[in-house]
Amino acid sequence: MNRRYFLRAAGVSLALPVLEHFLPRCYAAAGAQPIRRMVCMNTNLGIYPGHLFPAMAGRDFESTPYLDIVKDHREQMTVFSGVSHPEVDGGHATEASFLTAAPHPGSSSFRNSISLDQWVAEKLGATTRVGSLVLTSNEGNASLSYNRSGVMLPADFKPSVVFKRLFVEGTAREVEQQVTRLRDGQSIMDLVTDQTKRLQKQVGAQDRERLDQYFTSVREVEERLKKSEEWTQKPKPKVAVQPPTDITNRLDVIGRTRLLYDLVHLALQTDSTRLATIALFGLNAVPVVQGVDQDWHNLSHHGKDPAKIAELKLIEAAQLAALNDFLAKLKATPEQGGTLLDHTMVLYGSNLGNAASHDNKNMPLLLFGGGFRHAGHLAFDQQNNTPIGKIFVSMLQRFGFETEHFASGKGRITGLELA
Amino acid sequence: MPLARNIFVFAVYASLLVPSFAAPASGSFAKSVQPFFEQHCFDCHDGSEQKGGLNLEALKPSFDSPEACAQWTRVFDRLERGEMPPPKKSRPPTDQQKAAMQWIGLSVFDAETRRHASDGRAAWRRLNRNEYQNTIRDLLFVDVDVKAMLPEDGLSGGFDNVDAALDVSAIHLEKYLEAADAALDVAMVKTPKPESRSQRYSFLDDKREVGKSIGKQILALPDAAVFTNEVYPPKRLDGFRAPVAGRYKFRMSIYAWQSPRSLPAMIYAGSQNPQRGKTELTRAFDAPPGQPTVREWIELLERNDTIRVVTSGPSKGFNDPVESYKGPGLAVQWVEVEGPLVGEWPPASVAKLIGDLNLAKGTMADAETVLRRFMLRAFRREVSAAEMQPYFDLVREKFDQSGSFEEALRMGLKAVLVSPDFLFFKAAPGKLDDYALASRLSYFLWSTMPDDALLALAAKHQLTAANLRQQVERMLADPKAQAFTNNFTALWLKLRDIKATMPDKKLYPEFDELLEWSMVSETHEFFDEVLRRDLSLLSFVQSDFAMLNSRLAEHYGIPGVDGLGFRKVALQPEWHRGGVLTQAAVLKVTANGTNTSPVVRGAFFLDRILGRPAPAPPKNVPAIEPDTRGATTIRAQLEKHRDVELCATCHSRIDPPGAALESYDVIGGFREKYRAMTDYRNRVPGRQYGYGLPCETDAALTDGRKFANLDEFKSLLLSDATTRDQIARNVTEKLLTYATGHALDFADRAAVTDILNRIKTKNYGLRTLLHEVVQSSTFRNK
Repeated sequence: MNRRYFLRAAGVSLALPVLEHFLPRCYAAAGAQPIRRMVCMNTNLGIYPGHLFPAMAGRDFESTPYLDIVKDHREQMTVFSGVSHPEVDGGHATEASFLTAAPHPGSSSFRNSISLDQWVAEKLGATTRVGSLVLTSNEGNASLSYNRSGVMLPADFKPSVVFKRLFVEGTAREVEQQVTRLRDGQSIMDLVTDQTKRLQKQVGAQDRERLDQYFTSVREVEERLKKSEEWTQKPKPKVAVQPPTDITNRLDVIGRTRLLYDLVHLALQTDSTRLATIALFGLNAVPVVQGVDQDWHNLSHHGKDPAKIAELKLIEAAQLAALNDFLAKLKATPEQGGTLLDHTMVLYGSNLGNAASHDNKNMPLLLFGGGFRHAGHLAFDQQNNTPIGKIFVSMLQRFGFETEHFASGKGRITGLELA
Repeated sequence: MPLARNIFVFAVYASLLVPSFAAPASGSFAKSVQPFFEQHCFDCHDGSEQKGGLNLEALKPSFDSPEACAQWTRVFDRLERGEMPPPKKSRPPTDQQKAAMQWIGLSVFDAETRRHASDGRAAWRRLNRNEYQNTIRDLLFVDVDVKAMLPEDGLSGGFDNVDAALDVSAIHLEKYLEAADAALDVAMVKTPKPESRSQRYSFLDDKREVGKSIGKQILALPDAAVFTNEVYPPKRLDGFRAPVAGRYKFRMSIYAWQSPRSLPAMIYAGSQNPQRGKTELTRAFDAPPGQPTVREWIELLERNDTIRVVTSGPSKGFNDPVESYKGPGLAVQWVEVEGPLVGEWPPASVAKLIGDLNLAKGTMADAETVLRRFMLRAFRREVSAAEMQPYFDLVREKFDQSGSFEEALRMGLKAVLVSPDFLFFKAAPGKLDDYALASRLSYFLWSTMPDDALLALAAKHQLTAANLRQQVERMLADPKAQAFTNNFTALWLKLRDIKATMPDKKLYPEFDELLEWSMVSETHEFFDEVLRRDLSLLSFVQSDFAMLNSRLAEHYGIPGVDGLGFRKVALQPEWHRGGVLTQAAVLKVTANGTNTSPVVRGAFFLDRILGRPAPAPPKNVPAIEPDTRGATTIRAQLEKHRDVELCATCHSRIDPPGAALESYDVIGGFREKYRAMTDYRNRVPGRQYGYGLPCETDAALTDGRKFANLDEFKSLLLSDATTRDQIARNVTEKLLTYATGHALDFADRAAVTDILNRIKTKNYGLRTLLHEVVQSSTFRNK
């Protein structure tokens, strides 16, 4: 623990976040496009549809038990119904396709494709200290984010570790060691590049493809190591917040979720990243939620038993209450002439439309903030669903990317205009 | 390739039951296939209809890519199995169908055979996470959880060790760099030798929850504390906390008190704060009745970890007086802990890696010696001086620049650990050279790098057929072979999903972790037994024995099994057990924790046991939503489903085995009626459930033969020679896939048939099969 850090921990606040200080100069200029950000969450045991979807479409929908919880943000919210990823089937397996829309994740020959956040991360490059935050609420490293090769990026699970990476300045010696390690990494990449070139001459077409994959990866890592080296030598933003203490009780899902939300808020506020995904995993166990005493996964297979649905509601409501607080925090953070919520698209949903039957149609999906003219309840056909990829196209365009496609989505979603 | 081609052709026509087949006619696409498609297929599969997403008009007679071959293989299979044209359409004349299949079959065969010759069958692939972890362990002699640092591996065709699943991308490489650092941190440890000590603890002296509960929830005997099956207080060994991470040896003296039978002592190791971290059931021991017995084991602990002891059986009753308790309990006399176990110092990793070199004073020549030795093992082959030179250069540059021998050496080692030569299985097309063969064998049976003995044989070019046989036997006898049983069953029978669901505790209050642990062990033990005794592959469908311990026997209602050790038990028909389909682990991974679905289990049977998977359900068909309120049966719901013609084709195959398996609940218990939470009449005393509707397990095979339950279903399967062959073929295919790291191509069917013919005369023995796989040309070629 270094000195400054010690003082801060002892309650001696040295500096409040000075956001403008960390923003690239061009954005500070008047009239420039605001910085856009995006946070995506998938809760993988579904959201009970009976408590979520309003009966009526449009801005004047009559609220529902779940939407009541986030009612403070009604003006900044669109709830979609009748949407799903076409040909994305296979029950629980579809969590892999939540942000990628890759078809048939349950099939034996499934290959994933790039996720929405990584698509953007590729474009943004090393604009921020970390390209994107890839987080999970659970042990293990499963995430929602996939790279261009369809490989799942390992998620960070401990908020304390991410906090340290983003906000805690190492000692001069630590920084130097880190820089040495990164430089060594670059030299090693040079060496394996040569090795790979040598091997490329010896192989058939099929293996060359694999080797090319490796070769491309080496180039990419070299680039990233260089950027990391630059960032390592820049000071980290100072934040007047206690570093988080990880919650080690895996049953305290809501507590863990809240810690992750706080971390994301801080990361966005300091422009340490502009992208985050959080895989919110359900449990095959009883979560710490007042009044719940049955296994969560089991409750999601409620078999229409009203008692189980009532318990399930307690869990899902607690999740939404945490989301509501996150949104409130974003809204309470002024920046760029508005609030953080104005510039952050927050997507919250589930890969399961009906968890009880593992149905992947009619997925629950909520979009908050981010600079849209929100439409209340956008209802599409329950039988013939609209591709969620179209919502993703709208989000990409909101970022300022001129694209008309994302996976199975062609063109923007109708009814949701940019603000 | 004329021989293989002939075998292949024979195989094709044998399956068509046309044994009197003469030489293949040299048909053409335009003559044999095009008109056949037009006449019999285009009604549904032309450009405008495209039923099931298949447009045969667009299917080009080209076989350039593996994808095209796979597509044509699907067409061939549908024809061969008589699934297409569908039963309601008119049958094509046999000679026309034969001609079409012959052209398709030989075209795919020839194309794949050419590709196997030019590129090799299996593509280069990287190590998967398991293999990486094990290889680091054996290469550096360290225990580091590097697996957790790496991205999850994908599955292809259900396997995580096949080429198609093992792409590499930047994130892998980044993580390999980090993992290499983590492993080298441990391997090149410089800290002084940790102090090891040994101490004996008694729960009677405990100062915390256990101590405070003595005389209340815990009984004190003069020589032991007695635990019954209660949650509170947690029976933590609070006197001991691991001072540093490492291995600790435990010795514990236990016996079963007031009990005619043994009681289990389950050990949970890890962070013991109930609000913190994981505690895992790491092992379980028997406490024999009345007879103090010392159990000894070694536990890998993090700093501040300790253990917890749990037993099962009756609970005393939280507030019932201790004095009047007459039931059984687990008596724990004492627990001794020794550790951390340090062994030699510096540890083996340092000794074997750098010998007695002084890291502070090493020279470039020393570095070269260390690296040379390391690369031979890391690359699992001979490495030329020219190949080594760049690594030496890298180390020299770092040495010159930093002046630190240690840093320079470390950088060289790290470079080796991220190089393609370490990370990839590499082989040239054609016959595998000795080293590549040694690697393939080692990763097949051990999931790790070849050991010195295997590498030595490779170096001497002595991996002959006879030696391979010897090596297989030697390797199976090694504890590392447990990796084969565990990984293969994890993939083939989906046991890796064992924790995917937690059974509903109101419906299945008897479920506990000891049962889950026993379930997985049962299937492992069963597989091992079949392998050890070279029993028939058909044992996986039906066996007259089971491998059981007391917990499972109790669960299955089988008397006379005392103690947690697994043993072979001869089965009686009235127990309704035998084979893997009635094993609790398989039944659990095919259920969701609350209810079973005949569709899920039926599909599992077709895919994993019969090797004839049902295609994915068509688009826009909603899944059945289970209803546990007890009023409707799953069969009633399924019958509605089956009335639709679109669904009927597949569901007539899926539903019957699924129905038969309805006799087994979500944790593998045998049942005649469903347990239900509501709408029930006969509530079970002391339980929150009652019995609802009876299970309907009778059904008929597609050929009309009827069966009443799973026992009869299995008999029908095994009474039929073609089905027996198919079951054996399926295991053979799965094993060959796992062994060679490549899903079976169409052209590989000849090799499978060849292997099958050899093992058929030897009662389809599993060990025989394993040897035949290793001896096969498929295994010995790239």
